Amino acid sequence: MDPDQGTSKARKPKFKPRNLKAVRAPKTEADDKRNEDSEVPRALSRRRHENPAKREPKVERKSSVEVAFSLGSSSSHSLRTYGTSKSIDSGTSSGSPSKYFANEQIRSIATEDQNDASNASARKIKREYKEPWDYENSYYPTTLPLRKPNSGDPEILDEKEFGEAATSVEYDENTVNSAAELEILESEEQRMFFFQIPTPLPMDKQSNKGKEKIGTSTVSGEATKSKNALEELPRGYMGKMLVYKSGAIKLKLGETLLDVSPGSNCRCVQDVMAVNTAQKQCCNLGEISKRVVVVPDLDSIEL
Amino acid sequence: MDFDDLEEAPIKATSRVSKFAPKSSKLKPKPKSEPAPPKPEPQPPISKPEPQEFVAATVKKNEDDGVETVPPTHTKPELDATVKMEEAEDEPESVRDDPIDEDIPEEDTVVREIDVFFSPSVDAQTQLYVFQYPLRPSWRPYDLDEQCEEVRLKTKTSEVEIDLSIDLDSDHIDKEFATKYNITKQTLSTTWKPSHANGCAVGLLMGDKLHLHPVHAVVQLRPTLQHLNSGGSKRKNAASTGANATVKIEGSNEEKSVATSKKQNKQTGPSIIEQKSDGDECWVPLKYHSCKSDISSRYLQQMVTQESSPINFTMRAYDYVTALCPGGSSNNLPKGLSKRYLLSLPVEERLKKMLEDRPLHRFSAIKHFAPEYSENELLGFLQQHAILVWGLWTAKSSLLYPDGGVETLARDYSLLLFSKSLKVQFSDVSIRGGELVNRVRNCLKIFGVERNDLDKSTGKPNPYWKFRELPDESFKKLYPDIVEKQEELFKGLEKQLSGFSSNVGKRKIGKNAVANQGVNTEVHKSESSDQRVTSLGRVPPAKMTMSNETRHALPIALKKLFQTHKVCSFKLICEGLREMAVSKAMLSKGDSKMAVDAAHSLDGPHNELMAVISEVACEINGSYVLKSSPDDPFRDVVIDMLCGSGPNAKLKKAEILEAARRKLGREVASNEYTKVMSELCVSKGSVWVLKSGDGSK
Repeated sequence: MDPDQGTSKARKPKFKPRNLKAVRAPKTEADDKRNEDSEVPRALSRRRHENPAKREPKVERKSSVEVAFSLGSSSSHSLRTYGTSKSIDSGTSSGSPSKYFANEQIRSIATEDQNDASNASARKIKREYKEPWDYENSYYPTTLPLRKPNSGDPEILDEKEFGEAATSVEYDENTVNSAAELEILESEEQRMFFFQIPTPLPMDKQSNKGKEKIGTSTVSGEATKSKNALEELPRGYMGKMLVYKSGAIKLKLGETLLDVSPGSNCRCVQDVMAVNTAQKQCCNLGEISKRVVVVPDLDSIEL
Repeated sequence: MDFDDLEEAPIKATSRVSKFAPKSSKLKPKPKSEPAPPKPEPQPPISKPEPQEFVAATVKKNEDDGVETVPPTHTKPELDATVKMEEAEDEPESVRDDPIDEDIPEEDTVVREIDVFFSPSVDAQTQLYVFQYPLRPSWRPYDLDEQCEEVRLKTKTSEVEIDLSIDLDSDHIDKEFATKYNITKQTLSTTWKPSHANGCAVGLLMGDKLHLHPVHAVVQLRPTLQHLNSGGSKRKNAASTGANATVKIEGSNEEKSVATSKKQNKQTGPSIIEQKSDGDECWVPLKYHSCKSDISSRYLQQMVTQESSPINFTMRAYDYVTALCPGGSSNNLPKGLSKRYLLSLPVEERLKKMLEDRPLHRFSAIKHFAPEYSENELLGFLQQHAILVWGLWTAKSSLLYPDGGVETLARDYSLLLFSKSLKVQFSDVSIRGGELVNRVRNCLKIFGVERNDLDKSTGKPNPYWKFRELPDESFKKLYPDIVEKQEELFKGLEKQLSGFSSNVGKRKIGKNAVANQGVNTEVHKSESSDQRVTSLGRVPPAKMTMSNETRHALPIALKKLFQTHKVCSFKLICEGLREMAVSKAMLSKGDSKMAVDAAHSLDGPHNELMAVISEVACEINGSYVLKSSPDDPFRDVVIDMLCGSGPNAKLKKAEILEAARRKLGREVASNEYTKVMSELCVSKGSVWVLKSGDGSK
């Protein structure tokens, strides 16, 4: 309730000075009234060609919101008024652009809904998709847009990402080109990956060696306790990672073969930090580019 | 192969289209601008600057991608891509050649080899953390290098806080709002405790070498709204919204802050709870260094320094899979060597490994693992290297212990004990020397399951071993001749071990006689004569559970009993001993103690009692008769005839006299004949029948 009252109160003082401007130009008002009587597409096409000077009297219609059609026209005006207000108010206040962004966002959604209902096909042909924010000169929302800026029309991208064709595709490990996804082949640069390694590694424990020396005929079948393999692993050379022509990547540790495949993509930034609590240093070593999952290759193991 | 080609095509198409998306925005305004001139002029100048910005953005962001990007049409990019890729390095060509190679069925060759090195830590005091910023997309990261003031860390819980400075002079900052809430910096913190990263490592790829370093923790950092939490009452928010009536700009910020505070309240709740529990630990302030600083590059150098000592991954594939899936319990897992490993060995070596692996094997199982051998060859091998116990094969001791020694003796002895019966009592293991007894018991555990049987009189646990496997009767039926050979082998073992422990040898004879009494009378005759010889020639065995007094008194009591009852059953003997003890105790004579001592033998195991009885008397079809003195050979002839005729034997006078004439070489006197026959037999009609053992004359 309170924020709504705040917004309604904020709107009223804005219109007072502009009403004075409207009185100065009574002729333009008469022209606008006549345009309302004409058909919808004609009105839309004519307004596109009108001069920017005429934007000010159009703002009056925001106060007289009665017809559903006028909502669409007012939203289109908001885009243009945004430019005007930015040039006027940029020196005085820093908060106004963010407010206009919020209003614009709400109205742009309403515009899309109405246009889809009335003339969707015409919209696709005639209009080019415009980015909702000026990415360089404005403080746009932190978590938006969901895709990278300047990546194109979201409708087209949504169809490719969530459409029927994309949904029906199933994950097949034989067709996944791990080398291409991880970009291992081409790059000679220094890169960082986030490796997920299976808990048990094919390394004999020292306790087992002691038992073998005893030479008892009966084999004591002890269940291997699951421990963190990386903690017990000593420093040294592990093995070779083989990249094949087909894009498959294998990691060979001793006699055991493991599959290396790309993990899920991560949208946020991941930094690797070397933290030294003794010297009280926190060093940024670089950014993690890809995630890698290492899994034992059970097809190569014959039981 | 065809399906693979079909599936790969759309994948590549999608990847190309995504790359070309920014350029598609370039071309679209151009055709539209051409029809624009006849229409009013103001629109073209508005649309023109936007694509220029796109061009500048793409060029700035991805200079390399700019080279790779291709026009949006599908036909053109393929041609241009092939042309450009030819100019590029060799490695990309190998990537492009992949679809061509797949059409031709060739082997999948290795394109690149990367050596993988591992180091447990960068430094003794340094740990690796991964900082994630979930609320920020990858194209809009925090500028840590310029804004980061301080990093704080709790080492135990891996909680992290980062202070970022705020540029109050920026156009995007509301100074009045910041001043009102005293906002001077922005703090990122962990909302909940980060879990330790088990099995996760950072791989640093440089050239053809990959260096793995384990990660200590993965930390997620989100902005905290400390200024709202400190003054967090709803009334203040209401008051601030009231203030919006006068100030337009503050209103919009307040709306956002209220909305975000509602969302953050849920997240900050659990962190507050967790922070209370960890309030004891202090924050460790750390100084931040960017990735371009000298210290960071030094850490990278430390990470890259390699050590060439190889880590031994010597675990076999079978064991590795077992480690991956331990299963419900270790007992359910198949013990011993894997089948694949066994089948890879030569036949003889394989069979030896099998015999060494487990103590007992069925013949059918062994045959299954040796398909190359015929049955005769397999049996020949087994008779050479193994011993048959109750139809099951076990390795010879010479196979397990080539050098011989105490283990061989212990194992052979335990095998001998089990060959006699499926159940071995602790009392049967009568050997002097503690070490050898322990070894024998260990071997008995291998072949049998150890159990305890409570003694009735003393209540102490009396251990015994039961044979581990069920006897394989089918093998005995199929191969009786081999079974006989193996039994002879055990007799040979028995002779060897009898010299080693004479006590055991004696008692083995007794048991053997008992076991084979009904099968082979001839064997019984010879063995009964052996018994007589041993009993006459030697002192009774010293070690028995009976006390010495009991053992000394028992023969005397038995002789007296047999004077009263010439032919006795085992039951009658027990009853007689008890009555004798009771009657003499009542008479309170000097013999009562001896009788009581003799009666104590009834409390001991029946085997020992029967052994002592066997020394004093001989058994005829379940009944016992006092043994003959050397000066009465005719009595022995009659006893032998009674044993040889089996139960319910019927003898005629003519037959008896004829047998006596053959054996003794002379005619039997009439009084001698009458005396012996009246002692042992009852006349029924024209034949003599053995007296019943129940005491009636």
